[in-house]
Amino acid sequence: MKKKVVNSPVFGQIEYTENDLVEFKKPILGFEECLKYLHIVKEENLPFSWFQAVDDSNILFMVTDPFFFFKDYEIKISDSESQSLQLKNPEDGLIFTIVSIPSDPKKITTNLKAPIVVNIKNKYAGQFVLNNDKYMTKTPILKEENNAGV
Amino acid sequence: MVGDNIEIVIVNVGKEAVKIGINAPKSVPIHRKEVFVEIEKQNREAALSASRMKDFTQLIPELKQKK
Repeated sequence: MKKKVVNSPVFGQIEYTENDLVEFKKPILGFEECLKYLHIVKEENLPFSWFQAVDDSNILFMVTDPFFFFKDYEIKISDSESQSLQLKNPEDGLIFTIVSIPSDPKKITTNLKAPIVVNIKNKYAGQFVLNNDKYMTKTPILKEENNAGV
Repeated sequence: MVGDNIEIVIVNVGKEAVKIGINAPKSVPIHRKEVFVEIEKQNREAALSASRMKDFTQLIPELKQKK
């Protein structure tokens, strides 16, 4: 299979093949032109990882495993949404939430309202908006020491 | 009706506003447009911050301890 290269603004040159790609069947909102991404995982940075667009190397999302920080996080997606990824078993879905880094990095937030779901069986992915009103698009990840109990 | 299985209903007609409702099967997601606009904005802010991401990776070991 032909090897291709993307020049990532954070990771530099990355070689990949079509098989490595995650394909968004439901695009990341606002990025309807970029459907193919490499999921970059580095052990030392977990639970954080990245989705690097291959068609536009400037587009790179940092994501996190939301359950690492929010143990009670619940995702309910509709049948039509599962079907768009051909997702037959919930266990085949890996969940990530997009992270926003403000100028003070300790104030990082993640979007629990619109998680990304990846079907590990076929690498189809989508960003889905949850119906649950209790989740916000900018949820702080880190608790301040003096806000314990909030 | 919108399509075969989505119904828009008038719930209430007032002096200044008309309240509408949407009947649809559970399989169909329904969201106000403002939610999509907000999410697009969040996504855009998150996507184009390569230098912040680089700086952030230095902090990750410290942050994991604080969790």
